[in-house]
Amino acid sequence: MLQGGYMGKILRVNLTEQSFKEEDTPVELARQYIGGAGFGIKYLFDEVPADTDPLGPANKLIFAPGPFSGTAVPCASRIAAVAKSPLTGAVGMALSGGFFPVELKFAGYDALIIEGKAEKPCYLSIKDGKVNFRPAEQLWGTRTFDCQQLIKDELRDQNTRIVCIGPAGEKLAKVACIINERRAIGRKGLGAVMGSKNLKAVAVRGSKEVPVYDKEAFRKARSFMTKAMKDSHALYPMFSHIGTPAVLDLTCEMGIFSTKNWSGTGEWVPMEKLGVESNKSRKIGREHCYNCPVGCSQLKLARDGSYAGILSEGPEFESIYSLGGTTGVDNIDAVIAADRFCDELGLDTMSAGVAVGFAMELYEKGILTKADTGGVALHFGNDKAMQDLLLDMAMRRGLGDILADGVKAAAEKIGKGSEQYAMHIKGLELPAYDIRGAKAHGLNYATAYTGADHNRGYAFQEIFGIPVPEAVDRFALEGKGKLTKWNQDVRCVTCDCATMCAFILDMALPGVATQNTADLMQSLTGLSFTSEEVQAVGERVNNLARVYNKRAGFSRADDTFPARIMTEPLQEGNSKGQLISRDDLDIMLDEYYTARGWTKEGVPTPEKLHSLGLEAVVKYLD
Amino acid sequence: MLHVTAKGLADLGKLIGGHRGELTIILPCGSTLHDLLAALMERCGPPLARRIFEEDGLTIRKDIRLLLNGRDIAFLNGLATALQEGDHFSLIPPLAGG
Repeated sequence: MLQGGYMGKILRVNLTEQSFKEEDTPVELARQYIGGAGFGIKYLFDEVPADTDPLGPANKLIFAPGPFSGTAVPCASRIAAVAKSPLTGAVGMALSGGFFPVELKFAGYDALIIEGKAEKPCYLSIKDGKVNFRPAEQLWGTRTFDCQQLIKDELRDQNTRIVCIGPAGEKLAKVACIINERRAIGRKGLGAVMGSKNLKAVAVRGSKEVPVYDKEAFRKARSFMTKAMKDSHALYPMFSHIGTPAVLDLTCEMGIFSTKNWSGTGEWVPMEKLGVESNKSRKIGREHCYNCPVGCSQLKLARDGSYAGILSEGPEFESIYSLGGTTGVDNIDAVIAADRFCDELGLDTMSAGVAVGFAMELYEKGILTKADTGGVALHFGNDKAMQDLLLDMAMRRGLGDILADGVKAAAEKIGKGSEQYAMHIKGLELPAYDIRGAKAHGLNYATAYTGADHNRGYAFQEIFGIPVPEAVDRFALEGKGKLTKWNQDVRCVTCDCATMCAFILDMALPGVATQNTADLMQSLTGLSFTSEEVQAVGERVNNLARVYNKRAGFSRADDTFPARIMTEPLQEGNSKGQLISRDDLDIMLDEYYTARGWTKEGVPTPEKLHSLGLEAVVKYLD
Repeated sequence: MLHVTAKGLADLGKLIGGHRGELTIILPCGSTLHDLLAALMERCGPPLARRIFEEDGLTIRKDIRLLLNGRDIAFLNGLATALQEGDHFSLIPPLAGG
């Protein structure tokens, strides 16, 4: 029996039957997977066959907070959402913070598994073990902020915590996200999975406490972490006051802030208009996730022109890239407005913005014409056209209908050579960092189980110069395979499974993250962990996800880059001349697979799976 | 003579001054990064020196990152790296997130 950190129950809801049941949280599941992404991927692997239609009723959507969520551990109240991704066809996993994760714990659950498909639109109301299936026809079509307020009014509880979808998710846009209050469980199209189930929202309220196994030991373990945070020169005062836009200035200076659909990196550098100073000029306040002393999230108010008065929590660095950098829009007010617009519509700012940038480049190249755009001159920098196209994507109208399935699918429909401008890996649109100037960061994009996903194995050594486990030259290839494995495994367990904010790992705990997780786990839950055992959890989850993706048809051939990365060197800036050629990628992939104990084709070996306690998975290798 | 630029990010930009934290420094041919840093300290004064160096005034603080043309100087020849015409030097405080 679990003695702390976990609530001991997993809630399984079947929308088809309008039924639910509680299951005990297995001790072995906690020991082997910790929580969050680990729980979600384990359930996905066991219960959703890899050939499942992601938008069919057999797909499952799993929400899983971590053992630290709702406890005194700072910056750890986050939640993972997992399903088979409609955007990529691979494992879909994304995380978010805020308050919904802890409320699910307080309601008594270590995970929520949603199965089937409701006959009509509905939403779930969960309150301390009571589950109600409530009609949502009156909510269908509402934008996310309106939806949340209407539910709060209906439940007569302004403090209920809600995740929901907007019109984009309802219309099964594969770039739809799940909105978590004003934040997002953003990527991989998980909003469309909710929409496919006729599930508009989940509202949660709870009053339970998360038990602690050894309070004194837990206090000590927590003190170690809080001291490391206080001592961090990156967290305070810089990050706490500036937030993620600081990375825009940094990546511009390094020549790796991607612009104009990756055709303008280093040449068109919008540091002044979209960077720190610009964001500070629009900042009116900060937001904190539950039990977070940092408060990196910035409330920004657009001030000028037709966007004046529009408020958004954000845009974060990645959204400034996707809605500003890659679209060539250097009007910060337009980017703030687009960020808010995406949140309201339930669009992933990153995939949606990259899709707009893709369409703009096609227009510039003459592949799309005014006949395709409804008469709009869809040049880079056309901020009004961007807003219209975002709405069309959410409503699935015109060109927006094509882009709503992501750039990979859009390029397949448009043809005419557009594939070479589709910036994605495994169907997931690329994040902000131009990986031609950061090789391990790129290798992570190529090999992450979710597709091009900076968060699965962020190379902070290259981007921030943090010398842990050792200093690296960002332009070098050697050692990047081994480094990427380390980054992915450590990040997976300490952030994605333990649901700790990744910023804390980078800025306060590099080099001690696994020991920190082990100490917190042991004192909070009573489950004994060494640092090495913690890291093995990350490796286990990455291997399990890899086998799932193999079953779904992925292979070494999919661990690749868009052609532009491999053939077009950066022309200007502080990464001038850099690219990752096909040969360069193969060198890094060979090293990475070797470090992982996989075959040259990138398949986990039976020996590797046995060593991770994944014997039951070996049969899926054939 | 060599014309090189030096740019600071965040608070280092404010300490360096110039146009948005960037200055052009003119140095004799054959100068090194060490010479550039010395010229910067002379021009920007003690506040920058206190931010860049440990209390001994000689050792660069571990959390200050120095790049020459985008490359960490640890992978060049450190402060002994010879400068070329048009080089760009970046001084970066602890920044992360994103």
